[in-house]
Amino acid sequence: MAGQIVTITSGKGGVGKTTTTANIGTALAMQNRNVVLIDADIGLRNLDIVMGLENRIVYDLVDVVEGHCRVRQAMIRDKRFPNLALIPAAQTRDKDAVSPEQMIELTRELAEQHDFVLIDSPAGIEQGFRNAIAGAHRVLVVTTPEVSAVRDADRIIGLVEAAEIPPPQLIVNRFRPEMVRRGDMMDVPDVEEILAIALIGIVPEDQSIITSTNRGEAAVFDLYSPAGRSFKDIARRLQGEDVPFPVFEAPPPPGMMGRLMKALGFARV
Amino acid sequence: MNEAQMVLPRIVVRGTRDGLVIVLPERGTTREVAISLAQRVASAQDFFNGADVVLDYGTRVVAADELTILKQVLEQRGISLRTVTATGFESRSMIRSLGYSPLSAMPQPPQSGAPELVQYAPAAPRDELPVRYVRRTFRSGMSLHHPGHLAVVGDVNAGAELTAWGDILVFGALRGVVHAGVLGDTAAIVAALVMTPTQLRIGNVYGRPAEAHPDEVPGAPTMGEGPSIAHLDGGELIIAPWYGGRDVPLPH
Repeated sequence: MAGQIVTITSGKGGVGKTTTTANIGTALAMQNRNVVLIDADIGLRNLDIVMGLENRIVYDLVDVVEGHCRVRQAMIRDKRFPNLALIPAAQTRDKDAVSPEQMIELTRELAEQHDFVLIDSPAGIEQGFRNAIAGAHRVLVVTTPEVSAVRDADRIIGLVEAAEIPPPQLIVNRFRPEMVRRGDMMDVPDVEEILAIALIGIVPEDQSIITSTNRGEAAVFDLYSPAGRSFKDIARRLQGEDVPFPVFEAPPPPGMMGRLMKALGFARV
Repeated sequence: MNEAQMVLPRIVVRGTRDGLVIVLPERGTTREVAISLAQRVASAQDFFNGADVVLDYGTRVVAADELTILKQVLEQRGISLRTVTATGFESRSMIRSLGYSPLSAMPQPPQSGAPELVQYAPAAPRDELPVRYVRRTFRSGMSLHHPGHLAVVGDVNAGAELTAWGDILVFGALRGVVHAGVLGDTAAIVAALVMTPTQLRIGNVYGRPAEAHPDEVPGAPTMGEGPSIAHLDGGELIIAPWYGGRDVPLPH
């Protein structure tokens, strides 16, 4: 049975598409699926860095569509999982180097041998975005709970609907329960009310994302990372499992007891 | 060739912040333009009734006798001429010598970008304007213009824009920008189940209802905004909650 082609997009830049793609992809591989990631952000490639594979790039997506190499040659196997691979973007080209038709052909071919083809979309609504959704069976829209990001996400959802792809699903990223409690941040239902698409994940703000990115390792490897746990849940929901959403509470109070509990791993986040 | 068979030069009518502006074509004889103008006005007699308009010569040559004729065409149909304007130094001098004050700035189109009219709807009392019914949510970046009344079942999200000659009804949350009565009809209304527009425009009045609620979390839906109707009262934008069964005094 052919695999699913899933594009992760957002509209707004910097809300966590690449982090999400890397983490969901790794979580799916941990759960024994065959996964290939495609970085569609030609000219500003990042997925290779986040996956820790930048030193292993020989061929890239543009080499594949231009016929300079076979698809297999451009696929970089992940350091830990043989069932996880990355096709990096080209850094010295730009978004015009690939066409939607080429993306459709490539993703269809990859879907024949993988359970999941995850495409990391660039920000924006232009050619790069259009390429990224060209072959998609389904789309995940990432947003942060903040006015500009939600506005851009709404635009993107409209464009995805116009492309006759089934309604996308929503990931609310960089969620901060303490700010929501103070009334300084939109709550998830506020975002859902505006965007009106089904929620597939809530990912809390988590400093371990920065450290894991710098190490070139996905956060899902860190058992103490709340964001990592959320990404693993999203991977399960992508496979059809009904995973309940966590109730996020504010961090423990400061002070000796709070710090002690956190150090012992009892923090509720 | 009788009037019905002539291909007449196009008269454009715009609703602007200066009210109704009739833009004359650059080409065409006086007779052709007069007939075209008469037909245009006749096709929407009720709309123009009692209006006063600005006649914009644009790049058309200004001639005294032609202006007299066109003025008569308008006055015979109950339309008064507020002033005459044009681009170009000589045209404007000519206009001044005829006793009119040309507008100091080009008449600005409505900012919502309602397109120039190519065709006019036939004579249209409010009840008979064509209604367009749309059952979808308008997401950010989507827009729709309708030369009549517009009824939407769905939300109009921030970043979406709707314009209509007549009224606009949103059976959903209105968060974007709408412009009712875009040609200058100050009796148009906007109704919504949740009235939280980014900007609300009726006729030539632009309102910013959101700035009346500074305490809300930016971006979060405003609580307590029930079904409401917006209309103009003496040139001021009023948003009245709809309490069902109690008449909201609407303009006629």
